[in-house]
Amino acid sequence: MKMVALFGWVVCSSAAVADEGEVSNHQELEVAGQFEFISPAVGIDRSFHLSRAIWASTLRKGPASARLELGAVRSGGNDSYIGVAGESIVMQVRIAEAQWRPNFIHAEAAAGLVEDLWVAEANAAWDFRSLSPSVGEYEGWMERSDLGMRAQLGLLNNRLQGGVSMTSGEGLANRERNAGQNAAAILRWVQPMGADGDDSLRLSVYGRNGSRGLSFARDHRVGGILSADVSGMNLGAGALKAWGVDGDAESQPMTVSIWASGRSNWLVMPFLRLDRAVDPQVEASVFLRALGGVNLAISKGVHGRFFYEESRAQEGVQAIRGANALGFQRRIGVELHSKLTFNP
Amino acid sequence: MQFWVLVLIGVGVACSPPAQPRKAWLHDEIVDDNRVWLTRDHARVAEKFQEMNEERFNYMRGTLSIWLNDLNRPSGSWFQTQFLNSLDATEVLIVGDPHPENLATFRTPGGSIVFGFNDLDASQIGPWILDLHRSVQAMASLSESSLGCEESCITEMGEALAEGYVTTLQTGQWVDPGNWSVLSQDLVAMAQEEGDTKSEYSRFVRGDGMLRFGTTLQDDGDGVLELTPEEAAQVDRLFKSYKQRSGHPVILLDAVRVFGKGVSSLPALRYRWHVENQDTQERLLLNVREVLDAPLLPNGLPALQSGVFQDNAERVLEASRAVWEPSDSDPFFHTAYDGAQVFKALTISGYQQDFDTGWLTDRWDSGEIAEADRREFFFEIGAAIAYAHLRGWSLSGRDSGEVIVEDIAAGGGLTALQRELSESAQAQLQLLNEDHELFGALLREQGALLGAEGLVNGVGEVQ
Repeated sequence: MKMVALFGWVVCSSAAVADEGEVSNHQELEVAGQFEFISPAVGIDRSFHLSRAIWASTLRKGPASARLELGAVRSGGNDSYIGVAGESIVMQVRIAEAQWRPNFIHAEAAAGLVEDLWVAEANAAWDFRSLSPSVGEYEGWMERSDLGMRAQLGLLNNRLQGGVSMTSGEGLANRERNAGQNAAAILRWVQPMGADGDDSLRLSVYGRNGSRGLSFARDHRVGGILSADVSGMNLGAGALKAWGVDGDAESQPMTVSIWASGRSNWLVMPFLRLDRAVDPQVEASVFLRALGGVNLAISKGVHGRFFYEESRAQEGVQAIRGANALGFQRRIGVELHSKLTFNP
Repeated sequence: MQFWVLVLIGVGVACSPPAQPRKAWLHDEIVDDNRVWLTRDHARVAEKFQEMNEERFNYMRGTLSIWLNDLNRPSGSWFQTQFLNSLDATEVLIVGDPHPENLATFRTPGGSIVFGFNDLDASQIGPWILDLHRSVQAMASLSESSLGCEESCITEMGEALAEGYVTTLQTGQWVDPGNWSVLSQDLVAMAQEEGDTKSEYSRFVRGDGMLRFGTTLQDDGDGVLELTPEEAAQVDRLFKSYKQRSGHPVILLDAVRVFGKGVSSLPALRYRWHVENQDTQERLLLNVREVLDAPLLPNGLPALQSGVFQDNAERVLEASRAVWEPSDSDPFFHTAYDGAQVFKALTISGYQQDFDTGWLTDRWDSGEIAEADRREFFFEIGAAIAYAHLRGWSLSGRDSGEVIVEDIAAGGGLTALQRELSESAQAQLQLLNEDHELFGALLREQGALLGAEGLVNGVGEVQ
């Protein structure tokens, strides 16, 4: 029923579109490389990383737009000898959306491999994704995108925003495996602050009713994010509760994350993030992680980052339960990060 | 309004208890584990599932990857270790799948019969304790079904296996042949007899020197067929590669395709070669089988296989040479490439006998082995794993035996290991029984491919 209503809304609204305008071409390329020390050192040397290589392209003409985002992944890699042309780094389609955005209303409809509502929200609030994915994606409980459709609407001068999506539920890298679809919704309030409106407060709540895999293992989520841009600083907190993770319906973990970082043209911007995850179903299952560092603006679009990360896992969530040697890790490293846009 | 209705529905559904969550988890894990075969030859996957359904031990053999993934599943896992207190202990060469049907006799070039793990497809760098827990799972299943074990005997098995492991680590020596258990002595005697009479050879080779084959496969998928033109072309490429890599002066007399062997690797491509050593004019049979990646270690552990070994050929070759004593226990063992596909070739000989569950059942049922013999057998299984670990190496460069001995001491010594393995054996046996029943129910409900018919198509249109 919801889909029929959405379709009807799209068709009716389209009839009113007259101004097609010129095609605008928005390109963004983000590349980051890291060198890090890991202690205690596990396995073979992993000092050098291509931590991020993303090419995003959006073409727009009037209300119509098409968005494509490709990200680098290592084929084969550490998991397999079976890769592409050896174990080459290849580009993976992360997002492929047909979008329609009428110019007379704050609304958007998208279909294809659509960006996840939660991940998009969390990404908007956390800038250092080459060092760590945002809350939810970092824990492996959320995926960047999924096959399906999404609609968003803004009301009250776009301060109140709502979005819904229907997707396959199998995420970015798997085809549909069951007859069920994931239904997700997000509700967001954006409050401009300050005299010039540059600062803002953003509160979002999110829910997902989902299933995964051949046997419809539950895959539900409820979460919220509160973030604020104040005087060049970004402050945020997010919490996400899962019922079922990656086909394991018994798993019911929850994570809380808080972060603070500079978000301006300061030469030196510090950043800090703290994460805590726990599964109440599992004894001694607390996982703690702290990530901090400084971001140096080298030139426009290019940054140097020095970072330190420390994580501790209680025995219930260690890679092998009880293996204390695997319960602690720290990373210290440096990253060169560039993000350039054409027609931003 | 609609949003809140959706949220309320979502919360309501989320808070309701899931129906048979382990069954759903197993369903996806087992299908995923066989994805590579599903897209290539789904009929073989259905046969594999049928084999796994028929016997609990076969189910165990066919679910190594699932067993590994279960170790750190957040909820419901039986697993807990007191060991692995140093990183070095998580990075030693492990057998991977040390169940008793993978422990076999070999006839060395010197003519003596020795024991060694004959299937090292799952070998990799990993935590030493995994080999023991996997072995305990297999031995608990085998002991109950084939060796008349009940609860106290399962506990005894875990203790004896731990004792055999630690004793061998400390002495650095394999069990003296004079002290072998009755079962091992009998297996060696059988290997000697069947090897000497060349019973395997005459079973597979016709009088004209060509290999026997049938025209169709049996109902259960077993059988031997003549090569198709594509298979013949692949065999040509593989034989050239094998000859070049091994350096053996052999010529290929004949080859056939073999179906229905093994459990975990049942859908893998498998050929039987009849070759002649041009130096000695000796004719022999080789079992040539595709090798895939070793299963991934529990999530969160680095998968080291691709960083340590160049490819799967090097992995199984190096592991065999390291673990076998002598390293050329099977002198014709080697590997071959067909493009990116890797195969291994092992000699087929009556001299190679493993601790087959059927053979063990017969021996127990006929009263030929007593409880004391059974315990010695458990001890020897632990000793065999220890010997493999001793001959292997650690990624840190330290002696693997030293690393493990230190780790055992730090974790509480032999007593702690005995307790851990005994508890593991009981817990795993119960879980294995439950999982095997769930698997049977899945097959009945979902069909021969567990409902994965929609996944058999490989690369194609985006969907």
